[in-house]
Amino acid sequence: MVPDTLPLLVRGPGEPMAVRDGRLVLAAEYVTHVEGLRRQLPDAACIINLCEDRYRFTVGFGAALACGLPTLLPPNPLPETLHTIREAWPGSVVLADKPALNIDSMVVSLESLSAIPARLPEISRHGLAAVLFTSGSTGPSMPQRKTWGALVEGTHLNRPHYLGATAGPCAVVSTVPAQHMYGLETTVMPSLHGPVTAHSARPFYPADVLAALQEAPSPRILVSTPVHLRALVNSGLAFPSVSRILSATAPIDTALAAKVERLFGGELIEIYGCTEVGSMASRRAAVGERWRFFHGFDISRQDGVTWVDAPHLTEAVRLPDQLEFAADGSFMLAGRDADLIKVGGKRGSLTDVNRLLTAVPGVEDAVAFRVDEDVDDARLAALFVSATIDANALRASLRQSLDPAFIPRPMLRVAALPRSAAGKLSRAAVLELLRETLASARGD
Amino acid sequence: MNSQTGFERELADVIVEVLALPGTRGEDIAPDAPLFGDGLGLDSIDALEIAVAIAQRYGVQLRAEDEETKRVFACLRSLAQHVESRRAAPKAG
Repeated sequence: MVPDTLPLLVRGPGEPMAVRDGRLVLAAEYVTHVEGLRRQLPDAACIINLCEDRYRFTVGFGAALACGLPTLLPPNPLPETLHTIREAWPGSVVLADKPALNIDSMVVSLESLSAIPARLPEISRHGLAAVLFTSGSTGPSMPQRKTWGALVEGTHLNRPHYLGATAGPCAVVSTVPAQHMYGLETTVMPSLHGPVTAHSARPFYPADVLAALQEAPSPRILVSTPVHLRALVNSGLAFPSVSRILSATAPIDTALAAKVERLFGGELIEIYGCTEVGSMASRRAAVGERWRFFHGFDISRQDGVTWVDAPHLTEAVRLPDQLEFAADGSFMLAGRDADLIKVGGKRGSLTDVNRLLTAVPGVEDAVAFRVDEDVDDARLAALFVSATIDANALRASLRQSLDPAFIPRPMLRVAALPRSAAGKLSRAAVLELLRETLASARGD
Repeated sequence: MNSQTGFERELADVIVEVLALPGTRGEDIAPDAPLFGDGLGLDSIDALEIAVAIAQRYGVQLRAEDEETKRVFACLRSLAQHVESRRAAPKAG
């Protein structure tokens, strides 16, 4: 008999679920913080949680759940993204770490919350808990709805892969935002429905990551992405031992994975997932292993397209990547949906970038493209035609609506795009024009 | 007249090299022009690459926890001053 509700957390009151400012935060204190914030929340239809402090985020998430409200998770901090989401979801209250000039938000101030002993909230398993958005640009981004039951089931499914076979108490430090599915699944949810003590920071520079790891009690897990892992390897810093490192959002090459393992003295597990599904497969990248799906996923293939299904998904999901399977069920990644772009691990749509580029007033024609289709995670390039605006003005305009990672670089003004008589652009002609324009800019 | 100091020019060259900025030369980066958003239009991925290059070349580790760092990265001049002052600090022992 499956109960209709699931508790907000399954931790004992004395278990540490976070480390913040060098101090462990126990589950009992977290529950009082959630109750305190719950009492402060005004009437709302939904919560938008922008907290970068992971513990404040988790308190805000818990308070929303306790009120039966979904939490919306913007894919980037651009004002236009927030505006678009608020228009589509009326009655929202924004939670933030600190006041912001141009956003009407409520600051999560832990100091202002009275320590009211509270009963552990029970949350409806079918209630909408989180809404994530998949596009990196602010084009029509697809909301991904997750019920509380789905999030909890996903957490159990992922646990042996995230935490390792022994999967006991551990501390997690992550460079990934809680607003991202990968961050939500590896730090927030495992601190509520797993044995994890989540470090409250989102460290950015290598020295920040070092400081967070030094505050995190052993055993430690580091959850990060190739961009950050490369910086850590090249930082020249010595790190405390980390028993497990997770990498996701973009492919990591074998050589870098091996260096990461040597740097931390632990195994690097590469995770394959997407916002629609969450995480679904893993491999040991340093030894060039093939991928294996997690237990519990049903895989089917139609016309070279792979579909996945699992109990915690509302429907089967079509994967945007091409998978090549071996007889034992393991697979390699062979290529991806041409529209899907990744830059610095962030996901976007090439069609959206092109649409936004050509929509800028003054742009008569434009094309954004990948320079090297075999290289993952690299920036787009673009060529544009305009009588009135230059690249700087175009960049300034794009910054309103596009995550900086997706703003093409180089982005060069040209006299005309090399369209055929039928108006089509060939990749070869575009690349050639890019090469010529760069060469003449260099004065070659 | 806002010309670059020797170290500013050196740092500007590092930025251009490490980020492979197309069509830009180190000497073209005005010392007080914004590096992020406007001006050079760099983003957070670039900030990380620059931080690693600075750590490798000058032994200075940047920290985001520092309110400083936001000011430090405002322009070439502030970045150069920050790196030069940390670099000149005498080592203990």
